[in-house]
Amino acid sequence: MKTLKTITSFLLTMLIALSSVRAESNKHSVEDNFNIKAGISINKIYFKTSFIPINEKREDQTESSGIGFNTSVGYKWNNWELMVGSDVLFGTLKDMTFEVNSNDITGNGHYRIFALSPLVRYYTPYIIYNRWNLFVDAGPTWSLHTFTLNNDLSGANFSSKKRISFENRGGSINIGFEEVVPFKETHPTFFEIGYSYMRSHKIFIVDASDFKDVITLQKDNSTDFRGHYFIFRFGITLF
Amino acid sequence: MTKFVLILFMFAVFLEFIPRYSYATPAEIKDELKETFSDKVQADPKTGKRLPLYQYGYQDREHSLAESAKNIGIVYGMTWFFYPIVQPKVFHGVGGVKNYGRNFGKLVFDQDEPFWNDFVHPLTGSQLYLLYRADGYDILGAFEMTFISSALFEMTVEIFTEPGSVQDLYQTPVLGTVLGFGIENASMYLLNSGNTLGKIVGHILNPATLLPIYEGRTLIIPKLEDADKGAMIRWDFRF
Repeated sequence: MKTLKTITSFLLTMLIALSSVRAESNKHSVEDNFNIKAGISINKIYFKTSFIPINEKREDQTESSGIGFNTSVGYKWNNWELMVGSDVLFGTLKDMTFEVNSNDITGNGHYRIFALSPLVRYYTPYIIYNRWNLFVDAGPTWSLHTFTLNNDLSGANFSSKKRISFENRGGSINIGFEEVVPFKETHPTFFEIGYSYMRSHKIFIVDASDFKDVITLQKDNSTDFRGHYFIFRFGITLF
Repeated sequence: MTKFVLILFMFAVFLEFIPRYSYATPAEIKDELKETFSDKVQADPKTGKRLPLYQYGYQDREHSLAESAKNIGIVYGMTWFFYPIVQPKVFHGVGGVKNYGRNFGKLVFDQDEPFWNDFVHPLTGSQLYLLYRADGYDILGAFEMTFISSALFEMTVEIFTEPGSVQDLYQTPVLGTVLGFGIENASMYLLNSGNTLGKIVGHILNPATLLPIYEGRTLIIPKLEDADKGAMIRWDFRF
């Protein structure tokens, strides 16, 4: 709850900051200006949870690839940028093994992630090929990682209509390049590689039989889920 | 639905192949038709492409604080009016004043399906963004107004049925603005294509271009005669 209040405060602070920089935004320069970026994300995730021991090899953790999109809202000064970034990622999982009544029941599934990070970005003095500016950024991250089974598991009290969600906390660090251009209207391109570490603090079992009204069946504290997220992002500054 | 799409596709193909004077230069139009088409169809003599009779676009202007507050108030009032209609449970059973008190000030990660978080909310946000753009706000101004409107709805209206959601608070204005920016460009291209179907689709994608606030192309004219009081809506279509 405290965390969420912090996010709210941050978003409201951003809004107030945005209101105060409106006059500056008329310049349409990349610096000393507000921006919204959007792009595509490709991810590789390594995670571990006792709820989903995954495959027959009984490896310590499982890995999965996925794809999604990223957006961010920020304000850039000369070398610094304060921003809120978000990723929405989707991926598939094969042979997820659940232990039900001492029996292993296997099914295929998929996951989705919503992650939100307030970030501080530093644009280094290094510019490659006179065009690409190296930057690094970091910040705390909150995420919701939801698992779904594609097929019903006979004999198990779990179906394709139910989901397991983990509310996670962690941190992110990213490094990448952004195109050096004089004006926002030229939509500078960026690409970056990011790493996030996430650990759950809450688990939810939800019933999505009625997609209009998802019901939370169970909610507990849990530190069971741990994940390493590697995300490649590329996109443009829209304005 | 499939049949409808197929029929629409066939209609578009049909329109593409039927002979049209839009591709004729003024000199190529038959003499007996010249009078008919002289002030209705204009074509570029070099390319033979139809020239739009009306150039659609956005003219950004400054808004006073009072005007912005009034606009926020109107949109906020509309959410109070329409939300109980689309969510009847607000007044029946599940929702209600008890829920409102419990959810007020709460912010959580919602468990909603991607249909809502990644489609419906951004789509709503995009239409809000386009509404404010139609009223003359620049891109950043429209984003800010969308942020405020959606945050007010999220934190003070939707809590009749569920607590405020982190995903909605971020994605409605941000993804909505990204989507709205795309719709804005696509609709302006279609509206300025000079093609009738293009104009229809352009208005469907961006219905705010039909509102009186958009360049005054739609007028609501009051009728004050004793015998016939009322109002007349005049839409200025030029195909």
